[in-house]
Amino acid sequence: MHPTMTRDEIARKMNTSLLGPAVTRKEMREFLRACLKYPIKGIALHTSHIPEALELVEGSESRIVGIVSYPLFELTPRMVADWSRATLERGAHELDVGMDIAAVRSGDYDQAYRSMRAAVDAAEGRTVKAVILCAAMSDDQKLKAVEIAVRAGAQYVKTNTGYGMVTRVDDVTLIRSRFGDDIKIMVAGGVRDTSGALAMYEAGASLVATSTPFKVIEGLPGGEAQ
Amino acid sequence: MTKSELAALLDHTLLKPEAPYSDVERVCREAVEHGFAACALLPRNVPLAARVLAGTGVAVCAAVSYPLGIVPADMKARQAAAAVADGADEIDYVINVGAARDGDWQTLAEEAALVVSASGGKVVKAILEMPCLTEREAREAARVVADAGVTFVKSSTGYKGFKEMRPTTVDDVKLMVDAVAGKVKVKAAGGIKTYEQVKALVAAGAERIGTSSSLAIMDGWSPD
Repeated sequence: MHPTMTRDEIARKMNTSLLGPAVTRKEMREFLRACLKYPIKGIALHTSHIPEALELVEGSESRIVGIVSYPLFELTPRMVADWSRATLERGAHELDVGMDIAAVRSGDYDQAYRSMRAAVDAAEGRTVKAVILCAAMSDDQKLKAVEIAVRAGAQYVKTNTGYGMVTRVDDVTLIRSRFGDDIKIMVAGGVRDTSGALAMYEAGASLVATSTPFKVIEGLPGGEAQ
Repeated sequence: MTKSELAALLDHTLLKPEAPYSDVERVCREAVEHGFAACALLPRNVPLAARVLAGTGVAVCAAVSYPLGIVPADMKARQAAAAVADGADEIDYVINVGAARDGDWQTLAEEAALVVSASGGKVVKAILEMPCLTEREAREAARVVADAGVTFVKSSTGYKGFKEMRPTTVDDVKLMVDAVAGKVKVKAAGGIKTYEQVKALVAAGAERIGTSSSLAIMDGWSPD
């Protein structure tokens, strides 16, 4: 346990998102306002919502995360480059980019590298999280994918898209034991509460993404962080 | 309908993110063997499918801005243009479903016009994601994209990652047929798994069926 961790401190180690298929602008604004109660590090939103979201988070610690080749890892390298640039032009502070995991699973590592590298180049130093899909990969494939993310220059590997894909503590341990500090780990998928998040930090995750941020944050003792 | 008429209605669909190249090749071969209308694939699989399907008569269909369409129209249009350059014969794009719920019809009209123009005369299907819309919203969205020049309106992505999505129904097809008033065709997709479903949807006016269960549907065919 982290008896000294406050709600604000855990919020700074979390991401959340509002990426359903039919989110309205009003729903996005309400979600963001609720999130801003805590300094949640990253909030992933639909690209169309980013310009308006930037105004709402101004002055807060929270960063707006754009998504590219997500959630189906669906784009060609050329499309990844174009959508990464366009999403950053809309004002995204950082990007969650799906790796071509089908290429990884087909042994076409060069294609997976070129795709991820296209995003890192487009980001020009801004944070890129390389999203992989641990839930559908063997341990060898996971390690190969993380190696590609490191080589392409991504700052984080994100273990799953979330949404039904569960990340195991063992996945974090595996990646940490092989890659150490070469890349940071954001866990997504299956973390629903405070103890679930703490177990992931314990195993070496830097960030945890969850669609239930308040359940995680408010599982810690209340009172003002100061 | 005859078995070959049934096959010619089906968009044989593979949108699993983890599916390796060998699955894409297999699905393309199945489409040729059965005479399906098209193979519907993620954009990154289009170059491979275009090589396998060249000269076969089976169309390569790219799922654009799929499954989340809440993206600026210019990005969607450039993705469609890139998919066409990669060999796509058909573009299935997801409309900005959030804008439809916001009643922002201008956004839907503009993106439809941009995607159609970027697709350079290829078949364009606008996915309305009807399980997320009210009847009124779905009707207006269908009308707007039909006026903007798409070839088909399509009921749903069938993607269940973010929320459980109900299957497409005969009522969905009837609503689309009525809304587009003969201007464009109707494709039904989302949760279609049996020949019985296909028969009912076609009777209601669907001219194309999107499904990941094409082989089971072909197996279920029987002479009327």
